[in-house]
Amino acid sequence: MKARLILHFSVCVGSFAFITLAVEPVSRAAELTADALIEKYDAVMGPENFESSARMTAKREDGTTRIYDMRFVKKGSEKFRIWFKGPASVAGQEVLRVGDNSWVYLPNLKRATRIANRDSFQGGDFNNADVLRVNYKADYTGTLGRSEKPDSYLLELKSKSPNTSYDVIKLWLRKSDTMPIRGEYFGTSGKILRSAEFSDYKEFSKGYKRPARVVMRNELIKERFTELVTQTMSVEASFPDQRFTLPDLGK
Amino acid sequence: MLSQMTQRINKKTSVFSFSVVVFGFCFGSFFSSLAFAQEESNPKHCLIFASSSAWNCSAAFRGDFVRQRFNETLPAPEVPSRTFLVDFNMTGKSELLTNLRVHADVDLIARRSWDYKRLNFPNDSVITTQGDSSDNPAYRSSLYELYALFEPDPEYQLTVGKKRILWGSGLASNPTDLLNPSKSVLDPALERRGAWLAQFEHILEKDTFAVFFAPGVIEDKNTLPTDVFKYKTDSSDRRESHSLIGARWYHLAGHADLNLMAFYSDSFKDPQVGAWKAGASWSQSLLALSKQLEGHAEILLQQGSARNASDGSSRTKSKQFYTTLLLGSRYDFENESALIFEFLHQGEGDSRDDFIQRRTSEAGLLRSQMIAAARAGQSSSVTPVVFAQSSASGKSSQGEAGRTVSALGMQNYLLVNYQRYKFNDDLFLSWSLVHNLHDASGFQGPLLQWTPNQTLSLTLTANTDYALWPKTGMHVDGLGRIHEFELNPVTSRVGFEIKSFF
Repeated sequence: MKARLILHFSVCVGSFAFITLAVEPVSRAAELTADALIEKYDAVMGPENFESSARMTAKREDGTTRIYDMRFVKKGSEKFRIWFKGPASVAGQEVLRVGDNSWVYLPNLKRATRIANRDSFQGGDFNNADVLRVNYKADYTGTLGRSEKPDSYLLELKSKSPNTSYDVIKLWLRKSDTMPIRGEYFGTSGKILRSAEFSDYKEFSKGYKRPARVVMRNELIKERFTELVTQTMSVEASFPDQRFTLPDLGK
Repeated sequence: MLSQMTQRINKKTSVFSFSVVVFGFCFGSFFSSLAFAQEESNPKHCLIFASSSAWNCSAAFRGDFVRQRFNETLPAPEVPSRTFLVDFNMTGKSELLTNLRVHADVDLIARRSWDYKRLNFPNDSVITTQGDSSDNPAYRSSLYELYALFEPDPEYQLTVGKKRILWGSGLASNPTDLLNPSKSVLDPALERRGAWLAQFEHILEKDTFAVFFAPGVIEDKNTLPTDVFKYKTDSSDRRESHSLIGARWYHLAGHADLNLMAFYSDSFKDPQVGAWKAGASWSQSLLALSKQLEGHAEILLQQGSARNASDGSSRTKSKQFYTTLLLGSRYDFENESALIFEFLHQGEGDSRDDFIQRRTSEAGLLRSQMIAAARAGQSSSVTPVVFAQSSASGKSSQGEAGRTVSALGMQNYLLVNYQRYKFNDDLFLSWSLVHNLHDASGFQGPLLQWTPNQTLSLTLTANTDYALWPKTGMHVDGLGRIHEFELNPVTSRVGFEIKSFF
């Protein structure tokens, strides 16, 4: 009898422990706040420092494509620089962002000029700010919405200032590892402007994983979309501050 | 005999210069291949420098058709009616060592112009010539930039060679640009040449201090200097140098770029000896007004002027201060277009009265020169004025087919440019205008570029002068009412370019 009680007790404790352990990831994930999810998104899509190379393919409604090869360098949340490596017609162009300041260097003018953050990013469907400013924690306030998919979170972001590219952003993140799956980007009128699909999750550096492929669709012209494929990425890269100065452009 | 020898020497110099540039191409190609090899074997070697080695080439075919104006009472240069040009360009950079990089931007050009026209005095008939062969060679090279950049530490950079450095914030015009060959206000991209110099920069996070020394190029062939920093001996046995020393402090303050500049010019591109000049520029995103609005200003202050007064007297040693000021704004529209307005004030430029006096004396001088030449049985050879300047060597940009307006002679101008990117996806439209605020005349025209794919672009340009109201012209004795842009020997121009990138 005593042995049976001990057995029952053991089974109950074991079952409780199993249930607790099994449920724990879900309950821990469920504890994630909107702010925590924004931080995770920023850490994945715009890590503090990185150097990467990427290929952007813009597909247009007439079926033609434009392909651009680029090199990105980011330092902290405020400094970002891009070199266009190809095609030859745009090679040598550079973009620099420091805080809210953005400049573009044009080799045929051999000088840099200031640009607005809202400009389209080199003929594709990304905005400069989509590529140059992935710092949603600074630009948006977030709330958790109700996702139709049980295995994903829906994060709804509202712009903090009129200087952002989008008024509202909806992001779907995987519950398992908080990787982004999909994004929808809205203008001040409430109309959807862009949508993004994230895929090909890859570990670029030890412990650093992100979607290697982002497809940004133009929701106003359905046939148009732009694919950004990250080819290499290092989050250990470190660059001196001088690389993010106006006088350094073109060198 | 002497002219034959001179021609032979000129030919030899041209062949030498051309060979040097061809050698430069081979040199560049060698280092580019070396750099690619380095890049493959050691992809992380570029952490000190901003980006790795890269070379790009393009080939262009350009045609330019000009409609000329003939004014029998004012001097004007000969202008070709047609110009065709084939241009091969190589641009890029190579890292020779970890901290040492070489940049180059070189053109090889085959160019020919036809039907140079001018008026013949005294019967005012139009003469058509094929032009002077020494000014119109079939083959040319043009060295826009070639410099080495040494960076022993990220804070310090040393640049030696030929480089185009622009510190000011103006878009169509840069009053503080005393260094480079002047650009066209209608199309600034037509001029890419820099100047020979040595520059040292101390670069910090928000500040940059720079100082350069640029020796004057007295003579060049194919943009390669044949005579640099020459010491001329005049009648009083005084030696003159030709150089420019410049210094600047750049500061990023919030959303503004600020520059303070100082120059010491010694007969550099102009006759002023030992002249101090001070400059400043500002460029800012005016977020408080609109996130798409930018404002900029650029100012140059100098004592005396290289430009003679309207009565012909020299102002090089004048104690009077002259200011050149550019105020501008750029608005970026949501549809990928931009509108740029700039106001240019040149203190040393002509007022209406100055203009009238200058033209009157020029016309009289020309008339007397022509009469003297006609009496001596010589063909009249007129002297280019206002629009025929400039470069460090006094020549207009070599290899370009389409320069129309470079120097502006009066005090106040409005410069306007509208750009529309991605117009119908592959089209780029630009429209530029330079408007004289004294006489309501100007020069304007569109540029349309089609890029059917990423290796080809087709460009059409057209420019024409205008005078809004005849009454706004300035009355010059013997000439009647004239506008400044009626002095331009080109009344309209149409050009095309087919460019391939590889």
